[in-house]
Amino acid sequence: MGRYVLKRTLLGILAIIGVSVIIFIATRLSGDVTFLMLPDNATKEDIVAIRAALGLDKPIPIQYLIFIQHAVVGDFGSSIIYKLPAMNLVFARLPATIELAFAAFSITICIGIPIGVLSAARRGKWVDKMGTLFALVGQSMPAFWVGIMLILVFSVWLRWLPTSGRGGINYIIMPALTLGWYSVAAVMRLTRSGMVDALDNEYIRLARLKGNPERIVIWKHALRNALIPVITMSGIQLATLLGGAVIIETVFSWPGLGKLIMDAISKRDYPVVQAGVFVTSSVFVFCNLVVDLLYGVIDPRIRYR
Amino acid sequence: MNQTKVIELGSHLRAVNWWSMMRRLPIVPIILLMPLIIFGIFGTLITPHDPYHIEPSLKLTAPAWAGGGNWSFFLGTDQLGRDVLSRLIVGARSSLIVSLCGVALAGAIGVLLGMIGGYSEGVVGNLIMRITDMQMAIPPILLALLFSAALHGGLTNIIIVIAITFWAPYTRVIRGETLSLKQRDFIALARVAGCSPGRILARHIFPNIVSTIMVLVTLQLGSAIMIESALTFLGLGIQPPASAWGLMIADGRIYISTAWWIPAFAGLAIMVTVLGANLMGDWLRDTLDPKLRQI
Repeated sequence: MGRYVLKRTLLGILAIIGVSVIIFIATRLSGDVTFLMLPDNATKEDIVAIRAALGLDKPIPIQYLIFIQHAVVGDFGSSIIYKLPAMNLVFARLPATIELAFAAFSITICIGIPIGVLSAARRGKWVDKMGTLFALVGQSMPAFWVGIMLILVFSVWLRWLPTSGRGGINYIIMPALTLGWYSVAAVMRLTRSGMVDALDNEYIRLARLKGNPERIVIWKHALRNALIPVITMSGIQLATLLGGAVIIETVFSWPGLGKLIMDAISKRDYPVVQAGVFVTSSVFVFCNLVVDLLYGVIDPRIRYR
Repeated sequence: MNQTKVIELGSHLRAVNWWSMMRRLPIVPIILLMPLIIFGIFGTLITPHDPYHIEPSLKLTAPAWAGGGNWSFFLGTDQLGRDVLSRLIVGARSSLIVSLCGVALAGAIGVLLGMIGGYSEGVVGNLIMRITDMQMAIPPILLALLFSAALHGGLTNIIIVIAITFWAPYTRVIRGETLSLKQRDFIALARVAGCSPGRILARHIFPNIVSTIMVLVTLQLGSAIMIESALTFLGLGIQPPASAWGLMIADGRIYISTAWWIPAFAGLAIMVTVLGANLMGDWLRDTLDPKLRQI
């Protein structure tokens, strides 16, 4: 078990290093940042001075090492717009995004798993067909469009819910629904296939022969085994949530990390973009690590890989 | 003699079970994708109006069946008086080109790296795998955002961004396939015969993974269209005055309370297209290579 934990942790650290390389490459691709920071009448000496101060005149590998050196202590530079340290801005907005992601994930689980279980239990019947259709169509709708349509129906036409902002439960329900929507289909499909496999097993037959009510057979015996792939899928779902949060937060003006990254991108505020993407990816890698370790605890067979 | 031939043909035609053959064809995806293909190919030729023609006096007209509607503008007009239906038709082309080219480029890169990664032993293979893992450590949308912010908008750049976002899954799958193919006897025989690695990859391994590649491409197409429209919606994709579905949704968002039809139909178009692509991908996968079902 110890070896498994160690190996997975090392791979996680390697992934974060890789993320930093990708972020570094992307930022350097966008051209010279100096021109953004200087007024129009800057002289050649000014440009050279700024470049030296930012370390842009050094060779690329050295620049990368300087970047890592700062990144390790959490220094991603200061925001060009807000003149505050980028990391501070990111951490200030992180709770809002975590709240949204958690709400969305809860909705996904609460809708996806029961529909998946029902579809598997009534395989081939009307419920199954409707559930599968719902999943298929759901996965084809662009999330930002679903958000806008929800705003149209519930804010403009019915006036039940506010269009944007953060506050009580009626502020979070539409963004969370929109964000969780896409994952519902994936979770439902996975639960269904896991349940179908589980229900075919011998021990289910025994449970039925013992006289257990069908309800217990499905929800207590079959579901537990079916959930194993769902838990591992959750790691990937988290990626969708973290990535999709950027778009959803923009649509609903939810003051989270995603919106910060989006605003920073449109204003070319690269330190904030770097810090934001780095933190999001690190959270993703960390959650995947936790899921991997959890999987190792639940299913002893994979520990020896 | 002729009579015998006719009878044989007749019984052969009856023997073929047309119904089960038809059922196995992907009818629904084809129906769903037909509009996209027709619009993509014929584009500007079949639009009822000029999609770029601005007519301020006609702006924000409702669809034909709603109050204040006009039958010559079937789905209404947008904030500059442009016909929504015409813009939808022309927008199909942008989405189609970007997604197809992007996924093709991603496939080319991914397959190449996957084959090399699977076939070479030691450092190179490991290195490629590590790079692939690192790439997949960033959520795809974030990756696409990062690079589209770096490269700014425009058609070519979007294709590059989609290629960067989508190459990694190909590499992973193709590497696995290459690894398992490498163990087979015919590869060993080819090596004994003196074939260079390049020749083995091109002539022996590649033909065996073509069906996998086709399945992957069709499965990725739906996601590519979604990400392209998301990027365009955020202003990082196809730029105005070009017409794209994501742009229509972005425009329509400002007018959501007065002109719901601008974003609604564009989103429906995306939904129908992605659904068709996904169903097509599923059918292709089930027909060609059911082992890929975990993807």
